[in-house]
Amino acid sequence: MRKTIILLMSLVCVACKVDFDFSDLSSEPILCLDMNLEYDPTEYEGGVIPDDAPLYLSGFIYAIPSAAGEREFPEDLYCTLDVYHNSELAYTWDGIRLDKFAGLVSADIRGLVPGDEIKVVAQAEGFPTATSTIIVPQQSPQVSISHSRINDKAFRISFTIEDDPDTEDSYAFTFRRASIYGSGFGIDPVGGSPLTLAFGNDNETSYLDLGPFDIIWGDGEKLYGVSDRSFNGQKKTFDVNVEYELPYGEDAENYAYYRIGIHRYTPERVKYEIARRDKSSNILGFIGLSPATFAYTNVIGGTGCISSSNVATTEWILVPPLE
Amino acid sequence: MKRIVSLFLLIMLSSLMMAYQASAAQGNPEPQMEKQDTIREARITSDRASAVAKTQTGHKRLDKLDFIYGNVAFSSPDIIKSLQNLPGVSAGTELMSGLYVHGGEGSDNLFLLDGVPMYQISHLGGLFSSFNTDVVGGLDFYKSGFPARYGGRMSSVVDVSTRDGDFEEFHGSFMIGLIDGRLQFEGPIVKGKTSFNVALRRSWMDAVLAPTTAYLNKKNEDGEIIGGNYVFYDLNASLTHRFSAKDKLSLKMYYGRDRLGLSETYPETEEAIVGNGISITASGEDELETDIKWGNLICSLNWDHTINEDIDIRTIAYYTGSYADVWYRWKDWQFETKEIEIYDALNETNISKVSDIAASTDLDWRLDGNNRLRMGASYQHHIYNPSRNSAIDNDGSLLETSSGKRYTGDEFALYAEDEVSIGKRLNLNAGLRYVIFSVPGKFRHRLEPRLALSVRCSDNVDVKASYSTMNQFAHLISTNYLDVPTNCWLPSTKNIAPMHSKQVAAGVYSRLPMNFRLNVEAYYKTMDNLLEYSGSNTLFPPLDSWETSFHKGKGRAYGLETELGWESSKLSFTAYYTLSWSERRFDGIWHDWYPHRYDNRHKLTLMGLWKITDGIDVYANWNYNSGGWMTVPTHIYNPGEVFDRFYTAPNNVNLPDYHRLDLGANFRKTTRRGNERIWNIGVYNAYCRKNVVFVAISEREDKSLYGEGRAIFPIIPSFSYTLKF
Repeated sequence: MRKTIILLMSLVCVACKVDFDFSDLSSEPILCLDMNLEYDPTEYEGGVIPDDAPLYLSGFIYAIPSAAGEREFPEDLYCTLDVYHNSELAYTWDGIRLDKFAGLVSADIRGLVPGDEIKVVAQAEGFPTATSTIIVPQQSPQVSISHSRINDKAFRISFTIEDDPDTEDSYAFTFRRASIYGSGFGIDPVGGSPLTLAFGNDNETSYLDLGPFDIIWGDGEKLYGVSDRSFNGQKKTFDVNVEYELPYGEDAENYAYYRIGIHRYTPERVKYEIARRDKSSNILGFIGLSPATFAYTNVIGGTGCISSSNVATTEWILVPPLE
Repeated sequence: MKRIVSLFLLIMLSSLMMAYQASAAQGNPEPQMEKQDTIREARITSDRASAVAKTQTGHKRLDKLDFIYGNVAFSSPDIIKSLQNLPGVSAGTELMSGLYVHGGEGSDNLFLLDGVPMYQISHLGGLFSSFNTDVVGGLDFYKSGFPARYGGRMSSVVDVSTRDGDFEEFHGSFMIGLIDGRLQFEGPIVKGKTSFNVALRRSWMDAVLAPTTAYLNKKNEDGEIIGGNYVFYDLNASLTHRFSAKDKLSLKMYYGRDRLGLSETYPETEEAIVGNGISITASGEDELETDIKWGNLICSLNWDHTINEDIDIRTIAYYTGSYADVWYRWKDWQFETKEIEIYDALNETNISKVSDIAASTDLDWRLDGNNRLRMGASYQHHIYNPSRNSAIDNDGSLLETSSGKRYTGDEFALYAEDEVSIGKRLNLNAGLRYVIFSVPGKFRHRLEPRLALSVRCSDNVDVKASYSTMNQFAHLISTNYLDVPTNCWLPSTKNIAPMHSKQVAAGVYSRLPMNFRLNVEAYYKTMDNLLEYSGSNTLFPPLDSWETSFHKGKGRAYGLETELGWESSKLSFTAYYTLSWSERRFDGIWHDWYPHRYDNRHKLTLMGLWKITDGIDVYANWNYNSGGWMTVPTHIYNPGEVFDRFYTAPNNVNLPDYHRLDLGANFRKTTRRGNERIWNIGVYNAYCRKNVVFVAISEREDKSLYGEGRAIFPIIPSFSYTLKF
């Protein structure tokens, strides 16, 4: 389909060209906040999280130039970030340098419980103040898992979650694997490597196959996201195929494990990631021949997404041997 | 369902009984024979009298020659392009058969061909409309003040009627134009009793495309082979039999089809390292192939029964269906090692079908000179059946996915309208339409009041006002703004509410001294439950998730329309001006009202016709409208290779104004045998205005943004030769 579109575009590009200026575009730059508030899932094995564990607000602040205004920013552009916990100032980070248009944020906030309100306020000189408010989500649901080997290179995981009918949620799942040679060794709780599912080539949206998920995002470790829109308050079973090859071959001394991370997100994150993907691939929308995709945002005065998630992980689960 | 069918039959029976009782009471005089129009060519008619005399606002009747003058592109006159000239109508994308009436979308118009709805009304992406003017007798166009007998769409009604064949003698016409030709023939089968009328139209670009692509391929030195083929044709046929002076039975058919084929084979040579630094090369081919077919089929059986000179009943049973079949395949050759040649291939089929099996009956009862009652019932069984199949062959690993939807829906409507004159100055058309629509899992019903009022202030001035509500249970699901066969019709469901509009309109219609006429009309319209796509870039609407892939919103449109006309026996001149606003609000997109993409603030059409002699006439049309709207990113993030667009308000940029001049002339000559020959020459966009069709957003060196508009259609000549025999 992409080739067809390119062919059509090529045909019409031989037509007459008319250049014209855009008027009335804003010349004011904005801040883009792209952050998530979550426990560090690698620190707490099996979803057992201490009460005083901090949640980390991590992500980036971007300075976005106006299309009609200045496209460069001074090198000493700094941003201040205030975080309010139930309307009280809980954290201030002054002097986040927006170097190369982006500044890294990593702040730990303690004493949060599900249902708490978190408000993030970002300010920088020459930019409108950007604010966003989120609610810390409830604990991640437990999962029930079954699995089976398909062949010597793949196995299938079926896992089920039960959605809370009272809240609008979204979920993202992460998959990790670990291999052990010999049975006498344990697995490092933060060990393993990301496991990529056998679909989800989201670079090629024409042939997009997301399996049972709505969106896949993340560099390195992929997050497989889904909103509860189609199963609100119900149980949902996900079947995924995993390509897997034992590094030492199929013998008794060679064990393979996997585990699933269950991230219960506030609904903003999945909406935002879907809109971001759709927006960047909307070629017809770029030239006014289809509706432009508007990036969902929950940031007032700026753009981007502030989200929060609660995470649980399963134990390491032994991959069934080939029979 | 059984109840609905029973109710429908009951209504038909009751109507018949009422009519027969009425006719018995009046002594049932023998009706006169239907008058046969013996004039071959319809005369140009003006709306001078009709606009003043009729009750409805927003109504226009177009007669045959209105289609011919000035609405020719390439060769065939186009009734949709005639309607695009009218005030309150936006044409949308240039040369397409777009009809955006009072802020509505192109799919909000009810197109009726002899009373049967048409889902697909154009050929070649809208370049030609599906209506062959050789058989069209006339059309009624309503954009407000809808009579209660019409329903099912919420923005306009285009009621096209075709002519029966001549009952007395054979005649026909033949036309050859720049890219299409037409043949029409009609005459009696049994003189005075049975007649036929057949019209065939076909494009013949394929005769040019085949040798052209062959020549290009021969010239092409890089081995690329391209193929292209396009054809459209349509057939109108009718068979009419008069059983008696009171009864006439007509069998009518329309069949239209488009087919587009494209192919490309591109040779590839790649190099791969096979070990020890040794590289080898191998050759393969990338292939792309597309075959797209789409069209309409309509069959109807019409029974016209005259009970007496005051009462007529028309009953129609019909099938109407539209389908589109889009198939494409590509194969991407890759070479990795000596042993491995990889083919990634995609084979995809997208089929969209909608079919209606329906019946309707309408009673027209002229109670006395001051009271005309119409009532009727209709039942439509809709079948919506889009499906998609995709097979991806990734180096032998086949991933096949299929999706599809099948809905059946039942739509039942009852209406009654009464056109009554109260005293000498007041005319009233009051109507009520009741609609039931059911799909599995959801039953809906709506009441649609219609009211039109006309007050004769003087012999030359009428004031009119109207109010109407309309509901639309069918949605054209589209991911883009193009009239392409990948779009599909789907019904309202339990999650998708029917679209709904309310409209008030009022105007003053006057005949001025010296043969001038001036009509001024204002309207205000609201629309609810509109759909706007929001999703990934694709030409194919998502079938499995279509109900959640669209934002739900509302619209409003308002404006002022004026018509100034003058005519004499040789000259006529018409000017239409519209000042209008059309806005949308989709809370999932933007928190406030924003302009619709075809919110053309000003629209001016000037049309002139000069009959120089009996054999020569010339015409000129000038169209102007303010530019449409487009969404342009307000912020751009592009350090290094990253390029990300940020939008704030939708349709935030006004595109350049549109204008063009069309000129043409007809030369007529009657041969010794009495046949008429017509040479039509014309020029579309005579001064070659570059009107923007789409816009790419580009950056200058100083990083400022500008629009790089593309005008696809420069000056287009048109020519046709017509022989009437």
